[in-house]
Amino acid sequence: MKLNVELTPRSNIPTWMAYGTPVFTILAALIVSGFALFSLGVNPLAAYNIMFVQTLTTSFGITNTLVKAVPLIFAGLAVYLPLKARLWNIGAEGQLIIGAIVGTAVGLSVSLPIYALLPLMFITGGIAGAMWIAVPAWLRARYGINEIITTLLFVFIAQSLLNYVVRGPLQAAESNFPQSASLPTAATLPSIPIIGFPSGVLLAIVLVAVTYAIINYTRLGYEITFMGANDNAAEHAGMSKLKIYLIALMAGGAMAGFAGISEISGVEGRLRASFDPGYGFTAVPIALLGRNGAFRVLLAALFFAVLFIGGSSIETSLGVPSAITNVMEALIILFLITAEFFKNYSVGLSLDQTPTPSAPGDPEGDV
Amino acid sequence: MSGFVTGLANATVNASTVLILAGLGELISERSGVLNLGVEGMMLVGALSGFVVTSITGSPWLGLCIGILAGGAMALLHAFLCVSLNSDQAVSGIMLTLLGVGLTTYFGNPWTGDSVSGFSEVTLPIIGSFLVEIPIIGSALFNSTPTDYIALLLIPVVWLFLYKTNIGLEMISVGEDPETADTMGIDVFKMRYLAVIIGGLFAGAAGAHLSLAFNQIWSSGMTAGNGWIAVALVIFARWEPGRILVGAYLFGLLNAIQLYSQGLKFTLAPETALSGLLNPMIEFVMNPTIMSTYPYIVTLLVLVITVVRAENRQLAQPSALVQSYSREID
Amino acid sequence: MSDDKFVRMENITKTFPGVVANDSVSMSVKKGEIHGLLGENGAGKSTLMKILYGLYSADEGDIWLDNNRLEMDSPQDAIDAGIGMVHQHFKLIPRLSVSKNIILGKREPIAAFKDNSGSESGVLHSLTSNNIVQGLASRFTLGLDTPEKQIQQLSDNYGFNIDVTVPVWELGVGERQRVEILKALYRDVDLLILDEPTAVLTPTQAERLFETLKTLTDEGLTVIIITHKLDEIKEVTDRVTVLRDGRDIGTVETSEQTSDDLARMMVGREVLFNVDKDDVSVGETVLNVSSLRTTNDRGIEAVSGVDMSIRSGEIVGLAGVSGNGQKELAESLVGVRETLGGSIEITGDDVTNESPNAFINNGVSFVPEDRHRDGCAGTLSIMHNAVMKRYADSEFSDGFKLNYEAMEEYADTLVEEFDVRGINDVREINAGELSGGNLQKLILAREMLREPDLLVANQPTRGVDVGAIEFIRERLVAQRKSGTGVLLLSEDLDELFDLSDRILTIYQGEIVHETTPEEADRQRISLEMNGGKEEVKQPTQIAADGGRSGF
Repeated sequence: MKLNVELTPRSNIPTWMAYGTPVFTILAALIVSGFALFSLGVNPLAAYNIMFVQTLTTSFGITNTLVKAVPLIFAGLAVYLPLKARLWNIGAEGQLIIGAIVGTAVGLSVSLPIYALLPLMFITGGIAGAMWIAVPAWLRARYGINEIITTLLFVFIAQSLLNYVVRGPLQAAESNFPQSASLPTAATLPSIPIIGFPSGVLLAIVLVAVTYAIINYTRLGYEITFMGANDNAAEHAGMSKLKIYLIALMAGGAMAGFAGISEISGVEGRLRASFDPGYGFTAVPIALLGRNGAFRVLLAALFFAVLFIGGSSIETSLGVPSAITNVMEALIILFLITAEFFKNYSVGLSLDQTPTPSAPGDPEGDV
Repeated sequence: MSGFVTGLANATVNASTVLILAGLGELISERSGVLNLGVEGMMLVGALSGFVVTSITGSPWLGLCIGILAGGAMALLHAFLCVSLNSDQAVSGIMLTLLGVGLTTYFGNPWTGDSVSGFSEVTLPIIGSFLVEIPIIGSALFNSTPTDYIALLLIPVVWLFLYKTNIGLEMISVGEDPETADTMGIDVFKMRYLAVIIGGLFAGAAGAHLSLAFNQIWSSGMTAGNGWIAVALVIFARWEPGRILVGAYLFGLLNAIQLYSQGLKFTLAPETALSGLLNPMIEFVMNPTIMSTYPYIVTLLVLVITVVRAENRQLAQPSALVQSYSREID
Repeated sequence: MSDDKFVRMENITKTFPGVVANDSVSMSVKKGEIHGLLGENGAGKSTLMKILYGLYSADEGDIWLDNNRLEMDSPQDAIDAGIGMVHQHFKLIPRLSVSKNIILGKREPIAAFKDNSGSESGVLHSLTSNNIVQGLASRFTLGLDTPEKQIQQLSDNYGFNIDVTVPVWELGVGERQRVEILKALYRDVDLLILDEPTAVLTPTQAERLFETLKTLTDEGLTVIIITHKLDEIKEVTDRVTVLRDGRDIGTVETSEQTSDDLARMMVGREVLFNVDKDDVSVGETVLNVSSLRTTNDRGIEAVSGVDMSIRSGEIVGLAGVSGNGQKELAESLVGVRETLGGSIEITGDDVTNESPNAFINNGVSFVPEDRHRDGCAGTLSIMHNAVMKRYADSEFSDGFKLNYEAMEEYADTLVEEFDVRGINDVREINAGELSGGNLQKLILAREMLREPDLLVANQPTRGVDVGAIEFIRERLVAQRKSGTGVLLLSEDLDELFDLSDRILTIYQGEIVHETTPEEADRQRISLEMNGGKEEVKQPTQIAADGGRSGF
């Protein structure tokens, strides 16, 4: 007797699966995390109530969520765009840091009114982020060197640079702490009057819309999509791999730069040695969840924002370490990956006397 | 001066053990074609579980064993996702790092800041007392904790394993061309599972070494990026065990210099014409924080040189690295 | 040769999504014979043999070897049963040496632990022959010395002329195939399966191979050879089984069949491949190539000083054995491969080493050899693929934006004109879902309907069903009539003779012969494909072979 696992490749994905996957993975992650909560003597349902319901129903919670969402949306786009060309920008965190450094430097050294200074900070932060990914981008485009490793290495270099900068050139004159001076008001992202929402949200949403438009309506978007689908054929079609890879990755780098400067300008207020937000890594599950469209990236980012805000809420109110959100993040990725598998194959289990595992087959070609 | 050098040597060797252990594990995994970006998470899990077990039972050896197994368990998940489900290896690895960080921070809370009596430094029996007397490197190399010795021993062991055993040969072939290996009757899945799990076991050992020998405390995130350095190290070593030792010492040295050179400044005499220009540059280059980027920059250079200069057939990288394999699917 | 059915495959059925590869196929092979397995591309030959070798599992049916029923889940089982396979695409690991490639998977322990039964006795012997010890030794040691000597001996015995200690990447095509055969011989197989073995060999190398096979069968080995080449079947096989569209048509004595008989069995109907070719007056030069030199993917020179020109309204055929530079030549003519030297002019414009875009804009179209890898994006829609070469045209793009309605209409036009079947909505269906023939027609439509000045077609009818083949050939001729200059690369000499106005022969990166179908001598072209002289067995030949014969 032998347990048979039969895998049959699907030719199309059932609708319930296509739309339900994000929901199922999140539910599964919540259930499993529930056990972790339970082990600390916490009622999972009570915790989730605070985490999600409270966060979304209080104005305090909503505002915080939106504030948190801003860098997450940018970071999500930073991974999403290159992903369209089948490139992995794992180093978004590094580009984020560099964007933060450069943007802060500009904000501290240039005196302009806010409507000029803020755009300048963002532009320089974005360019810095794009520059930070330029070398890995070129190495990938020109030599095929895996961008996962190279962008990752640049993250560590960026982290060291941050350390250097806050103890050196950017260190606040009067203090001994490893941090920069505070950004002046002219360099701080304001809230939208009356509503009280952080203005960074507007910029983020605009960029989401722009990304969507580019991918779906422009020639560049066609080229990026085609290159991501088959780079050999794309080159035969006259598309320039170098150009597209560079554009896709550097656009991603710029987005990450925005994430960095928006966080300093809108939340942190100054550059600290401890600036280690991790948004660049959270961006990976965000981009995966939102793989099929820029607006889905927006939704995914919002979800994770709720998750993080909720996480710190339960830390203060229930004493649960906020690291539970990292666990949930990881679980979401885990279930997304496994869901990906089930989307491609339907699994049948059976008990068999004579083991003949028929595995899926090669559909065409060498028959 | 000699005290300084000896101290530096000591610090280098101490810092290198983690890298040797984690690096060897990652090397084996990558040789079979599976990239493991979850080393950091596996190390943390090994560190915490080793620490907890030792705290409770008082036996560092038991802690080490449990830590090793914990790393292996995580790697089992990575193997399942990457080898059986053909998931994206990079994403799975990052997920495991996140998971490791999250789980250990979450569950390790009660033990934060605690210390434990783990492994103490010992000398080798009989010859140990002579070896320690060797100037400079003697006390560094031969007055170490058991895990330091184990790490050094593992280098020739891994080399023999890869190049002088049938299993090693099969593992290498699986990382070069899984389809061919499959045709030759090799169980590709089993080999990759084995390699990935071994990688996890080593990572767990590296983590346990940190909490039981190197630092003998627990604090969340105590691996401090060593897992990522290990990944870079494997590239630097061009997937050869012997070079892992060289790289580990190099990276360890840079790390040690960071700690030791706080007070050191090299400057040119102020009167020379160029000093005004060069001194700030020298200061920058010798700045400890800046120096901590050198391992990564060097690794980048090695990576680029390896790929750019390589005649295709001699690429050091295992040809099938990061590509998933399943039979009957082109 | 005994009358026993040494190998029996009975009622084998194997289905893949969308296609029945083998439909209740039965085949039996006698011991010591060379048995041919004949059929067109897509007939099911490769699948059937992969089942025999344990790479695939049949959905239904049985396999018998020497009256033992075989249950095979993996190649290991096949190897254990004494079945060896030499694949079309060599299964060799370049980084490892020849001997390591050959012993891979055998798990031989070092000599000390080798199970030498009989001669030894005593404690040491009982210790080393213990199962557990054997298991450990086979895993954790590497027995290389003795096997290496044995393999070298084997190689020398058969005159293979190979140094078994060198890494495989140093060897050329012919040598690598010999390594593959050595692999099987070393494992003492009873049955050897060869999958399209001459696909990458020169005719002389193929002769060598056949001689070797005959020697081996004289010594008791049984051989199955998969091929689609009729002359090979006639030359070397004793009997042949013909497959068509997944079914077995029958098994016949080779000596009793003519090539026409076999062709009819393969194809099922009288296929008249005589395309009506009008006389077309040849016009301006569309392609002028001078002293062209390029390297292949491995950095070895593949095109070594080619001069040629093509004029509007003519089809120039290029004959040659795969691996002699034709692929690289085609790629450089469309801008996808850099050139080392020489020049390329399209309709008078020098486009040497320009980007693929420049070539496309200068009116060059390309039907690549590997349609899935180079010709389309399988996960994108028909529409996306239809405009692949024209998306930047003003018809479809307006500044930055794309006009999707126009693209969809265009895609519909392509599908309609070239009879691409299986599509109801060009936006919904992905290119990867099309069958080989239909995909090829789509690609041709795309490349032809943009009215190119030069069309380079590399094996345009390979892997395509018979109906589509006729369609494609007619279209090529029609394109010629409309004034396009066509370069046709094909392994099918009949096709070349049928369609070309001129035939060039390429060998080792040079054009060695030029003729017309009327004047041409088939024998002569075959000979030219081999450099026009007999291959002399010299040590230096390895270097020449290794460099030039491609992969």
